[in-house]
Amino acid sequence: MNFANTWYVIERNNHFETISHEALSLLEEGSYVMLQNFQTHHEAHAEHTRLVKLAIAETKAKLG
Amino acid sequence: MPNESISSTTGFHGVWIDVLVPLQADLNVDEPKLASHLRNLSAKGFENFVLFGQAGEGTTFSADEKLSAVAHVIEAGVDANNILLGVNSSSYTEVAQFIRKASAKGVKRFLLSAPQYDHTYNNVGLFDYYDQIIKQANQPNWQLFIHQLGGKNQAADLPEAVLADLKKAHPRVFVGIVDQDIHVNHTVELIRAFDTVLTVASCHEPNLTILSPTDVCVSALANVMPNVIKHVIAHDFVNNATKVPGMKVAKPDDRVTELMTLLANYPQVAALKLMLSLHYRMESWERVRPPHTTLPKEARDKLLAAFKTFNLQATE
Repeated sequence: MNFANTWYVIERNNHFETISHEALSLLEEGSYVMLQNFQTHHEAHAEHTRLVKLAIAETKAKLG
Repeated sequence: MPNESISSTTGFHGVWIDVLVPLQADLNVDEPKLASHLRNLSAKGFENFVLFGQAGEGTTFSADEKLSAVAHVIEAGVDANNILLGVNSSSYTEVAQFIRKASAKGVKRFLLSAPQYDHTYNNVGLFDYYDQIIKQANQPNWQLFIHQLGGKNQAADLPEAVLADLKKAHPRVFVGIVDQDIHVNHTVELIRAFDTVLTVASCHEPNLTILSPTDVCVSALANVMPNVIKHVIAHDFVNNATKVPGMKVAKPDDRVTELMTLLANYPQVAALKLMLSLHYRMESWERVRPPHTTLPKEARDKLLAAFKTFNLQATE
C-alpha cells in the first residue's frame, strides 16, 4: 500500500490528532500511538470527531 | 534455517495475519471496515493477510461473498499477492471454479481445507480430490496451501502419505501447509516430514519459539498485537519488551502466553473480536457470523475486565 498523501488519527499526550503522513514521519518514534490510517483527511477527521465524542460521553458517564 | 529457502522460493514467510472479518448489522461482510482494518495493519508494517481463514470465519461465507470482499480490498489498495484466500467446500468443481474466479482478480495463493468428513475417505480418494482441483483450476503461477485443521471442523486431516504424493505430482502448485491443529506436536511432525520441500506455517503463537526454525506463522493474535508476534517469530525478545504501565516489563512471548491464558476459556473469534472492538472503540466489531455466537453478557463483562488488566499497548 502507498501511504503518501494519506492521513492518520493518532493519540499523543492524551489527545487525539489528525495528522498527514508527511507530518507523522517527522514525529519521534514512541512519542505517539497510531490509531488508524485513512485515504482522505475527511475520513480521518470524521474518525477523530467520533473518538472525541465517545471520550466525552464516557467521561460524562463516569461523572454520573 | 532449513525452511528458509523453501519459504523464500514461495514468498511465504513472516507474519500472515489470520484476519478477523467485521460484519454489518445484517451480518454481511462490512467491506469498507475490512479494508480499513487491513489498511491499519499495513500502516503498521504488516501486509500479508489470510482472508477467510479460521479466524475469518471462512466456512460461514459463500463464494460470492468472499469474492466481493476480496475485490473490495484489492480495489482499496491491498496487493493481491499478499493475500492467502481461504477456500472451503467438499465439491472439487466448486473449489476449482472459485480459484479461477479469484485468480482473475489477481489472487495467487489459496488455503484449502479438506473436504467435509462425512465418510471415511481413503488416501486415493483424498489424493484424487486435490488432484482434480489442481487440474480443473488450471491457473498459471498459483500456489496451493493445505489447511490442516485436525479434528476442529469435522474436516479430514490429510495423511502425510497424501501430502507427499500431492507434492510429487504437483511440485509447483502445492507449496505449503498451514497447520491449525490444536496440538503443537502435529506441527512438529509436519515440519519434520516436509521441512525441505514444503513451507509449514504454524498457528501456535505460544509455541513459535519451540518450533524453531520456522520463519512463517499464520496468526489470529496478530490482529490485535502484530508487533508482538513479529518479535516472537524473529526470536527478538531482549530489545522488544513491553512496558505495561503499573506492571512488570514483559517479553513478547510472555505477552502471548498471557493473552492466550485470558482467551483460553472463550471462543477465540468472538473473544478476539471483542478485543478489537476495544482497540477501534467500535462495538460493531463484536459481531460474529452464525453458527459462531457472540459472548454471553457475563462472559463478555469478565473478559472486558481481563483485557483491562492485560492492558494491550497500541505499540504491541
